[in-house]
Formats: sequence, structure tokens, C-alpha cells
Amino acid sequence: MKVSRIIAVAVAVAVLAGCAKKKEDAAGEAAPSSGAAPAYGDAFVEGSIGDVSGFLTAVTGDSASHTAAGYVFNGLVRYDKNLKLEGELAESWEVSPDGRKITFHLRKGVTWHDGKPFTSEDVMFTYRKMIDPNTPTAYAEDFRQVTHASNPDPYTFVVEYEKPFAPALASWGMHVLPKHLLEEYPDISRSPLNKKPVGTGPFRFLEWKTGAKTVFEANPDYFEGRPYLSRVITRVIPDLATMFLELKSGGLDMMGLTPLQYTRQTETEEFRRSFNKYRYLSFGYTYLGFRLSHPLFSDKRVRQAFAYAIHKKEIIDGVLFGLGQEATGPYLPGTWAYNPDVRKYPYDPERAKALLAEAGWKDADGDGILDKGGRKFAFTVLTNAGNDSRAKTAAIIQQSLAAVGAKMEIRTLEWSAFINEFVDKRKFDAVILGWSISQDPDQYDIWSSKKTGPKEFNFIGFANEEVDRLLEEGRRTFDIEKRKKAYFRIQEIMAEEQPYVFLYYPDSLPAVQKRIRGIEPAPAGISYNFIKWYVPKGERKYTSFQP
Amino acid sequence: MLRYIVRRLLHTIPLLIGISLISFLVIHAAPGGPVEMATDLNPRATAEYRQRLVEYYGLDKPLHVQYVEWLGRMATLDFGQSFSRDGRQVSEKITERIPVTLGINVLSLGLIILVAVPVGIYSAVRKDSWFDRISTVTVFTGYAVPAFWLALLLMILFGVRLGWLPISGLVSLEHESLPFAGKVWDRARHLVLPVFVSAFTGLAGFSRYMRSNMLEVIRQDYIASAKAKGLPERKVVFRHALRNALLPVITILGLSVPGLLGGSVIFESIFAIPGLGQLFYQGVMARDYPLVMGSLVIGAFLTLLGNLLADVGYALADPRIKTE
Repeated sequence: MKVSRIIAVAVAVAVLAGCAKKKEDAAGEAAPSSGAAPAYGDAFVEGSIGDVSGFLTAVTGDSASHTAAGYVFNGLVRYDKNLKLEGELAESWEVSPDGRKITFHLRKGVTWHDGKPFTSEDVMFTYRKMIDPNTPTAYAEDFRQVTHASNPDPYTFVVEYEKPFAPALASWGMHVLPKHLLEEYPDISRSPLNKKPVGTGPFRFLEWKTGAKTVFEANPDYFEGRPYLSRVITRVIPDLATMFLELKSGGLDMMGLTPLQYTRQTETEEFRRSFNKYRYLSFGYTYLGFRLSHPLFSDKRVRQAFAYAIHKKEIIDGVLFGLGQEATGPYLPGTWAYNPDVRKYPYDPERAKALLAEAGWKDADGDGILDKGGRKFAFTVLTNAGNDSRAKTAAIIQQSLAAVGAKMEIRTLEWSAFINEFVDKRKFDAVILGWSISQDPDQYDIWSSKKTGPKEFNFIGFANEEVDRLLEEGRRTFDIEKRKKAYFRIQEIMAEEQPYVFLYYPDSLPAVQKRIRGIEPAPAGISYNFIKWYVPKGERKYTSFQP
Repeated sequence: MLRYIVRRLLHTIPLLIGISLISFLVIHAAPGGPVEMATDLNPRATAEYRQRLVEYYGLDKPLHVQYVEWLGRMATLDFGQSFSRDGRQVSEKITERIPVTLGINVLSLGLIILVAVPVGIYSAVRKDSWFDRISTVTVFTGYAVPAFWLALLLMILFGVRLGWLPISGLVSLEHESLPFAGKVWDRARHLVLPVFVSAFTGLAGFSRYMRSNMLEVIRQDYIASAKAKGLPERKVVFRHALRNALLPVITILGLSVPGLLGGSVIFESIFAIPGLGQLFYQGVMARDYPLVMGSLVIGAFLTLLGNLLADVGYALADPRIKTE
């Protein structure tokens, strides 16, 4: 999980990241993508607002780099189209009855792009690099939990943990690195492979023109079958307006649209002739978070009153042109951890007023602002500058709260000043921010009362014994039913406590050129079956890239 | 003369050190450092990892030690390694982008001179004529119009509606498969919009300067006497007036030198041109100290060099100026 930054990196690239179920009302948007027979050939051109910073995902953190590396590398496991874990380089795996040991059975006959065979030696090497202090990786923590790792034969890899740790399984989605090409480099981020990757994935690296583009070609020997598209070209186009013009003029085949573009700028015959638009929930939510030690917000009734007073539908209509869904908690509708039956807070300013009155807030002096013991109900909400939708959200909330007698000032701050000077130092009343939602439901870092230290992520200071216990329970078992029970209960508590007012889940809005076929929207979005995307023979555009 | 140049060059050294010290302090004073930029609100990043990064980048040393170390490396022209995860040399990152930015800026400056000099002369000679008025309005429109807005309008017209020109980038995706002539044509088509926008928005300064210089020269007595002795206007303007009016232009050219390598972020972003402006901007946003310092030092050096070249050029062209 990583908070979405000032620059909406998401807009351009999130399309390839995981996404949730396609909404019914969008069913008519995308024409059935059948018609002609699959054929090999043509190129797929996408835009990205940022350049790649390296191809080894262990040491990079930006989404452009992760998308690019995803073409070249594989992990042992991955999430399938229904967001369930499935084997990738591992054919299968077993978890021991006590949950402490995972045995991976690797695929046979897989080769690196340079022809060398892939074996458990490579997996072992990757594991060692992940815990090596010379590797500047943010992902070491998951691998440090491993107490013992072994590879008894070339196609078996075994890891043991001190305690069962459910998120560990997903951590083996980490890209496996080729031992024979990296052995001699103590710091893999400074190896040539970070610039010219060699992997096992569906596409082979061809070219990286820094600041301009990356080019990959289909790997004819890919273990899941050769991809239909001969090339994937990612062009760096930092400006979203330019990217949209490129898309319209045919220079790009896919782009994540903004809500404005989706509703107002693409509803033309011309656009519909050339593009299919898709719409599904993106993996993230926007929230209003309270500093819970603040005298105004330590009372649960005040937070609940806010939830009633804030008109979420109005925010979605105003900010996202209706392209989003009201949030009820920190999990995404349609995923297994999501609990649909939690306490809801329909827009009801009267109830909000009643709750505030119950908490002792009344407008005694008749100036329209509530007060209690001579203190006015006034506070400041902080959000980061440059994020238009958060600024608009703040303005709408300001109006709604004024209607129930709470005065809210809005202050927007440059990102790093916001985080370092205000959030980290707990110098805030309330914030508007967003989290992206990871596929594994373990949110220990955000909600555990042990994670309130400096630079940790429970910066609102949420502390609830039951939640602490349930978070621990959820990550210590591989049994989905048991985990589900824990996370369902956590959501009930969250809905009751309202440590955040969960505002909305925005939609992902990709548009894809019509000549690209084989796209089948699923809970995971559209890109999970990318190697099956194709262009019928008669509709090829780039003829110089023949297979 | 040679002694003068050497002395001036030596003078740039303390200046450069001063500039670099101020830059160093300012970039370090900005909130958040490279580690925070890479890890803020990323639950993956543990305190231990952050500490390791701090040591990895050498940020655990006191600030003055960091500066002195950096200065020591600079003395051997070692710009250091970028903090970005590609781990490349700063000098390599900067040099690979120089041809792009320099190429476009030279073309655009060439176009500006080509247009501005005749426009300036003609407006001066025919002061207050229709041509003078129209050209004045035109160049000021260019000056006032935001480059990104003009660029977008032209992209919509020539790229989307008419489909005559490519919208962004420097070459098309199938560039490699083209024959030589095709490659040249492809590149030229991609350069039309960026060079035009950059030249049109930069035309005002040069043409106005040319016009006012020319006006001043035309008022001089020797022009009156040249006219009086019956020389044709052509000869008066081009042989007597123009030469003198061009002199101050040398100054402007000298001052343009740092600009040749200074790319504009907005301009480069709009046209998706991988130039120095974008590189510097991203460096600042990621607090990539070595990259930012490297770019600033090069910029400062070029500015000082440009000033020196302007002075020297002036001294060479105008015998009245003494360098001693």
C-alpha cells in the first residue's frame, strides 16, 4: 500500500495495476471484443507520465518501473483475474498444517531470456539478495520473517517461518532474479541488469531510451505461450493533455482517462468508433482522517456526526462526475475481505446535529457555529497541494459541515512539507488523504496501536484492543474463512468508530483502441490476460514489427 | 587580451564556489530529503530501511562534510552518482540529454535571428508604418501567449484535426525502419511544432531590441550625412546603419548561451521531449542532490562563460572598448 501522491501517477499507469470488479452499469460501454481470429503481430503503444527508474522491482518504488518490469519478470505466485493467488513460476505450493512452512514446486522447462534454465537456485539467490543489507530494497521486511530457506532439488523451494504469516505467501510474488547474471554484483541496483533486464516473462527487453520510451518484444518461448502482440512500447508523456491528444490522433493505444475526459470529452461518435472505454473500481480510497487525540475528535459521537453530515454522493458527483462509489471501510467491494453489512451513514444532517448536541455542542450564542464551554467548533483540515480532487472534496465537506454548525478551514500544503512538518509531527486536526488498497487484506501497519510511532502509518493514533487482536489473528492464519471473520469484524468496528470518514473509491477508466481484441474485464481489471490480447490480421497498424 | 580572458576565467572560480554553496544550502533546506521522498507514507518502508538509505546516500554525515566532499569530487569534474534507482552517473544523465535541448534551442534561436533581424530593421526604417504596427502586435502576442496553450492549440489543429504533424516526441515509433531520407523527414516533422512555438514565443525580445538599436543608429549624424551625399537608402541602411546596430546583438547572443542548455519544464512536458528541463525538474522533485547540484553548476558556468564571451566579442568588434 502506498498513498497516492501529488502527481496522479495512478491516472496513467494504474490501468495495469490491479483493479476491482467491473460495474454492471458499464456493461454497455465496451463492445464485445470478438470478431476476427487471434493473430500474431502488431505493437501495443501505451503512455506513462513518468519514466522507468530501473527494472529490478526489488529496488524501485514507482509504478512506471513496476509496470515495465512486469513484462519481463515473473514471481513464484501472482493474483489471478479473481484476485486469488495462483502459481506463476511455482506450479503449486503447500502450506504445512501448522502454517509455518511453505513448499513451492517450481515449473520445469522455464528458461531465462538468454536461454539458461530457471531453477530453485535462482529463487534462493533472489531470497538472499532480498535480505542482503547491500540491497537497497523496501521489501526486505517480509523476507526477514523467514527463519530457514532451502532448495533440496532444482525444482523445489522451501521456506519456514517462526509463526504463520499469511501476507508472506503474496510476498513470493516478488520478481525472481537470474543468479547467473547478478552473482558478481554486491548491489543489484548498480548492476547492468537494472538497465537491461533479462527475465523469464512474456516479453523480452529491447530498448530503453531514457525519458522517451521503453520497448519490449514478444518472448516466443514464454512458458504460458507466446504473446500475440509482437511489441509493447511505453512512451513517456508527462503531460496528460498531450497524452489525450496522442490517444485521439492514434499515437497511443491505451490511456487511463480522467473523470472529466470520460464523461465530457470522449462521448463523441468519433471517439466511440476507435475506442472501447472500460470502468471498474480502482484499488484505493480517499478519506477524511482525524487526529484522535484532538479534543474535538476524541468523542466518537462527533466522528459519527461527521459521517452523517458529509454527503458522499454529492462529493462523487461533484469531484468524480459520478465515477466512483461511496466507501464504507478500508476494503474494496467485490473482494473477499469486504464486509457489505456494516453500519452505514446515509446523508442526514439532522441526525448529525442531534449527535453533536448529545456530545454537548450547541449554538449558544446564535452565530451559526456550535460551541461548548466557550470553545467554538472550529478546526483546520490539511491536504496536499496539486491534487485537484482532494481540494474539491475538502470544499464540499466544508459546506456540508457548515450546515450542521462546524467550521472547517482548508489548508493545502506542498507534499513533503505536509508529511514531514505536519503529519509526522502530528500537527494537524484532520487530513484528507488516500490509501491504495493491497490485494492482501493485512492492514496491520495502518490500524495497529503499535504503529503510531514517528514515520509510522497509524498517524491518527487509532487504538482499539479488539482490532489489535483481530489484526494479529488475521495475519497468523492461512485459513481464508478465519481471516475473513477477523476482517469482517474489523470493518464493523471501523464503521462504528469512524476513525476515518471513508469517502469514496474512485473508478479506473481506461480507454483502449478498438483494434486490440481479447480484453475480458474481471475483478482484477483488464490487464491480467495481456498476453492474450491481439490484433486481427487485417487491422494491423504497425507493419514494420512483424513477428 | 589573452591575459584578460585568463583573469576573467580565474574570477569565475570563487563565483562558482559561492553559487554552489548557496545552491547546496537551498536544496538541503527544502522540506524532505531523498529518503523521505522515496519512503513517505509507504508502509513497506521500515525505520531500519530508511536509516539504511540515509547511510547509502551518505546523508548521515554533517552538512559541511557533505559539501566539502562534493566540492572535492567537483574539483576532479566528478559529478557523482544520481540518487535515482538507475544509479547512473550524473554526468552521463546530463550529457545524454544535451543534444536534444541544445538542438532545439539552436534551431529556435536561429529561426528567431532569421526573422527578428529583418523585422526589426524594417520596422525601424519604416517606423509607425502598418508593417511596424502589425509586427509589434504580433511579436507581443507571441510574448504574452502561454507556450503550453499555444502548443496545445497547434497540436489539436495540426495533429488531431488535420493530421499533418506528429503531436509529441522526437521521432516516430517506426523511425528505425525508415530509409535515411525518411529518417530526416521524420525528425523534421517532429521538430516543426516545438521549434515554432519556442521561436514564436521568444521573438519579441530580439526583434524589439533590433528595432530600437536600429532607430538609435538611424538618428545619428553620419547616417544623415550618408543620406545627404546621395547614397541610395539600401546602402545607407545595410552598409552604414546595420553594422552598428548589430553590435549590441552580440551581447544578447552571449546572454543566450546559458539558455541554450536550459530547457523549459512546461515546454518539454507538453511536447514529451526528454530534455534537460525535465531532468532537472524531476531531480528537484526527488531531491536528487547530486543531479540538482550538477545541473546548477553547469548552468552557472555557462552563464558566466556567456557573459565572458559577450564581453570578449564586444571588445573584438568595437575598437573603442579596451580590455585593460
